[in-house]
Order: sequence, then structure tokens, then C-alpha cells
Amino acid sequence: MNRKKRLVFIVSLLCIFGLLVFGPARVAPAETINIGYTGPLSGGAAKYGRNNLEGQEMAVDEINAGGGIQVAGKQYTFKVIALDDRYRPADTVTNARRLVELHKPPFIFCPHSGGILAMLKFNEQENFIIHGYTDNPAILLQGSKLLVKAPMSMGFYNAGVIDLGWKNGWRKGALLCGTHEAGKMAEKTFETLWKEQGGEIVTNAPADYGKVTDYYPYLTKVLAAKPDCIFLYGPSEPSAMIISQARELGFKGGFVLGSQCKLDEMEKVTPLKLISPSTGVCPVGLMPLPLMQEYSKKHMEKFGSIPTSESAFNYEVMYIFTEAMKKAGTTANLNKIMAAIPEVLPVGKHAVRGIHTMTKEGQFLSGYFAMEIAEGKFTQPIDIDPRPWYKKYGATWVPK
Amino acid sequence: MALFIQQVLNGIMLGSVYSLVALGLTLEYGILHIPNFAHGALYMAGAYFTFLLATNLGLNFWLAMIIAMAALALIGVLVERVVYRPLMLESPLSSFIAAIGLIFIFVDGALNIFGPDFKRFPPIHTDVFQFLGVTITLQRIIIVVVTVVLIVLLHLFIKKTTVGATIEATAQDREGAQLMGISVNRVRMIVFALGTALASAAAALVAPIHLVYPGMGGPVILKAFVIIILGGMGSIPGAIIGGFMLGVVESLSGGYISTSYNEVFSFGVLVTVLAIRPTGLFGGK
Repeated sequence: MNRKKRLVFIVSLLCIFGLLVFGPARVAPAETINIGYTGPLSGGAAKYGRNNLEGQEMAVDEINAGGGIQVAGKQYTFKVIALDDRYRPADTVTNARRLVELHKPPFIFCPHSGGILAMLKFNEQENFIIHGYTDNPAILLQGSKLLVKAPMSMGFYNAGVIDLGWKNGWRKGALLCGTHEAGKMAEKTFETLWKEQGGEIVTNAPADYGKVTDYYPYLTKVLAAKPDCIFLYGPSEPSAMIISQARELGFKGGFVLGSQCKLDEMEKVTPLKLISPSTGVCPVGLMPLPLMQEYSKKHMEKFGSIPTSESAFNYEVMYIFTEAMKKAGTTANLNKIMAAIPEVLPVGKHAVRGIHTMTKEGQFLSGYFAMEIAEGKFTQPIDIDPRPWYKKYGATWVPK
Repeated sequence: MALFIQQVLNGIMLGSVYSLVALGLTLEYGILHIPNFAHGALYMAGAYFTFLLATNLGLNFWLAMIIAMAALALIGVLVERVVYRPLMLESPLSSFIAAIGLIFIFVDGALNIFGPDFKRFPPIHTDVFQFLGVTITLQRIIIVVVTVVLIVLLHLFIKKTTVGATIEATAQDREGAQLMGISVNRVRMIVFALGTALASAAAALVAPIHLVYPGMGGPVILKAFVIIILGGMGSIPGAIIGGFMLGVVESLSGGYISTSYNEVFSFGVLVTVLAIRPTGLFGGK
């Protein structure tokens, strides 16, 4: 009898405990869908991280202001949970696990390939879709079914710029790329594509853009090889400094500016008069796309700055995800959501960068514009269609 | 030949900046007995001061540089008084950790106040001279000349004035100096003021040919460490010779062999010198 009493007591205690723990979870507001972000928010790459986050926040705020979305007859709003990983893959993993544990986001955005690669090891088990913001096609090689990638591959982004340089009659190229991982890849990309055209690489002087105090020794070496053009790949401001110093040293040739060199930011450091003649990627703010122009205006109002490529792509991807959820009629079945994505492209007036196709690897295709800087002015942006490139090289091409 | 001369000139320019930073570091080492890791952060602060004075207030470059040097001297004194002096009698490890803490305070402070962007100093002395295929800009000539002037002034100060003699005495033997009636606290203050002012001068000089950003101190301070170890810890001529040596080696190895191995060559010189003279070029036994 006594035993029975005790058993009843324990069971009822467990019930109360269970109610306390699991009860409120059931009545918790199921109408909010959390969206994860893990990327740099402090340190040297803080600005880059914020640019990424801006796009996500812009989209979420807009959707929420319109009352949210309806999926299978139920109303949902969104909330962005942003965690700082200081650009470190190990922190990305910790953040992702924390997000999954506490907030159960169906989507996690991450803007660096190291972090994305780390999350790809467990995202299918832990059930979340990654938007990997990187131009490194290596993340597509993992074969994850729950991965999308909006920026196109580095090879494609630089091919248009290289073509323009070639058309300018430049033949002898010199490499002065950054020594970071992407810089090393850009170096090989330039070399491979330039030689494919029939060009020649006369010298190579890799420089750590973040650490070099003076570029004269590097440029002296490069200019001694008498190149027609110099390939640069690295953060915009140091790239612009290299151009200034090269002109001081009497270099009259051209610059082929890799996709990391943002022309609008370079212009603040070095006048266009000195940058020309050059070929580079058209800044997002100058792209002649009406939807992009509209987005620029909205972005200016909300954040007080012209949107970057990071902001625009993440904004559009956030809309692609919401449309896919609506189409799939579920917020939890991620495979269904992934399967619905190709059907919702492009996402109407939110397709600011014009994503129109998703490849089987999860690569989104959109276009970009290359442009020339000649006689101290930006010239008309030239539309570069991704389809021929992706047909020829595929989504996972990396230079050998 | 023109290429060789150009690379040597590039190296001398680079060496001037390295020497100035290393000089401050070696002076501070003489009294702290640990390398002041925060020296690079103060270099960065000097660059921002000069930048803001010259752009926001529109001051003349030289005036901006001198005011920034004075301001940094004051900050150096404060750092010594608030952070290092209370740790003077503790284990050197405490000062060591405090120095690392200071880096975080300065670099993250700059990041929050000025933002992560690279700032471009308006180019001032832009004249370019060319002869026999060699190019040099006025700003670069100025860097070298001002460095030499500052080095001579520092030398005169240490060798010819009583205050300078007390610095040397304290660096050689703190207790002995104290017994001779030298106020060690005063010497520490003066050394920190001098050291940070020199760092600030280096930063101000290099700012017009470089970019100003929160992380700019890191790479320079790393080189300065190599230099003071190479030249002998605490040695003033060692810091000067070591600085120019490293600048020229870096420039020539980059120009003739490969720019990818810059660091390999500078550290290679260090390893070679230490293998032959473990105390560095001018280090005492």
C-alpha cells in the first residue's frame, strides 16, 4: 500500500514536471518562424557580415509589416536570430547548434565558405537549409540536398571581366592577388582563363593585402616584367592603393579587377582618372535593373547606404524561401520546400538581382554586369548571361 | 640595375618606418623588460589622430603630426601610469597579459569609434621624381629624411642630456639607478612618452602612402619584434640597423625571388643572426 502510494506520488510528480516542461512549449506562439544567421558581426569582417544581415532583415521586416505569410491556411511571421561567429568555422558550428537547439530555424544564412563547409557536415541530420553566400563552388561539391547558393562561382564572375580585358588588346598579364584563400583561387582562375584565351602570364607577385605596409617592392617586381595589364583580387581599398602606387611608378597599362574589388568603394580611395583603363564588375548600385534601383532606394531609406551585393542577394533569397514554403504548403518539411524552389523562380518584384534558375547542385543563376573604366569614367555596364558559362563549365568548376 | 636601385630605395623607405616603430619598442623594453605588445595599437592610434586632425580639422600635415605625437605621448604616459606601473613589481607575466588586453581595448575601440573601413589619407606631397629609370615620390623622401632627423634627435637626447642619461642608466640597472637617486617612475613616464610619440610619428609619415584602419598596427609590430630581437633587445643602434636591414631584405627578396616568401626571408635573417649571435647584433652578454 505504502509502495503504491509512493508510486502514485512519483507518477503525479512526473506528470506535473512534464506539464511544466512540455506544456508551455505546445502553447508557445507557433506562428513565428525563426531564421538563423551566423557570420562575422565583429572584427575586421564586421562590415561584410552586416551587409549580409541587412538584406535578410530588410526582407523579414517587409514581410512582417505586411502581416506575414500564409502557409497551409496558417499565418506566420518571421524573426531573424543573428549570431556572431567572427568568421571562424568553429564558431559557426557552435552557433548553428545553438540556433537549432533553441530556435529551430528552417533556414540558416552564412556568408563564408569555411563556416558553410563546416555546417554541411551536419545540416541534413539536424534539419536546416543553408544559404551559403560565397563564390566558392567547393561548397556545392559536398552534395548536400539542403543547400542553396546565390552568388555564382568565382570563375564566372571573373570570366566576363577577363573577356573585356582581352578585347582591349591586353595580352601580357601580371598577377598581384591577395594571399587569402579566395585570392589564391582567383590567381589560378585568372591564369587558367587568361591562358585559355591565348594570353600570357609574365609574372606573379602575391601580396597579403591586409598586411603589406608598402606595395612598391611588389609593383617594382611586376612592372619589371612589362605587363599590358595587372590582375588584382582583394579588398577594394588596398586594391585602389595598389593602383595609385602603380601609376606613381609610371604604369600606363590596364587593371583587370577581380570580383572582390568593388569599383564604387575603390573610387573613394583612388580617382577614376587613375583607375582607368580598367575592367571590373559593375557595382550593384549601378546595375541597370529597375527592381535593383528600387531596392537601392528602399535600402537607402532604411539603412542610409547603397546596398551591396550581399544585401541584395540575401533579400532575394529570403523571399525565395518564403515563396517556396507557401508553394510547398509546409514550414517543416525541408525536402518539399527545396523541391518547390525552382517552381517559384523568379520571385516577382522581389527578384532584385533576377535569380531565374536553380541548378541541381543548389546554385542559383542570375546575371551580372561587367564594366570598363575608361578615360576617367564608368562606361555602359555590359550584361553577362550565366547560361553559356554554366553550360560549358558547370556549377562546380574550379581552376586546376 | 635600375630595378636593383629601385628595390633598395623601396627597402630603405620601408626600413625607416620599421626603425621608428622598433625604436619605441626597444626603449620600452629597456624599462618594462617585456615587449610592449600594445605598441602596434598605439601606432594605429597615432595614425587615426593624424588622419582626423588633417582631414576633419583641416590642419597642416606637419602640425597634425606634431599634435598627434604629443597626444600619443600623453596616452603613452597614461598607459604606463594606469596599466604597467601597478604591475611593476609583479611577475612579468602580468604585464604581458595587460599588454594583450590593451591591444583589444585600442583595436576594438577604434573599430567602434571609427568603423572597420579603410581610410585614405589625402595625398599631400605627390611630386614624383624619376631618374635613370628609378622612381621616388616626395612623400617617400620625406619619410626617410624625417626618420633620420628623429633618430639623430633621439641619439642626442639620450647621449647629451641628463634626462637621457637617466633613461640609459635605468635600462641598464634599475636598482642601481634608484640607488643613485634617479626617479625610476619619472624615467618610465618619459620613456613611454618618447616611445609612443615615435610610433605616432612613424604612423603619421606612412599614412599618406598607406591606408588607415584599425588592424594596421598588427603587421608592423610583428616586424618590429623581429627587429628588436635581431638588433638585440633594448639596443637603440640595433633597432635602427635592424629596421633598415629588414626593410631592404624584404624588398630585395620580394623583387628577385618571390613575394610569397617575404616573411620567410625576414624571419630567415632573424634565425641566421641568432644562430651566430644569440644576443642579437648589438645585444649585451
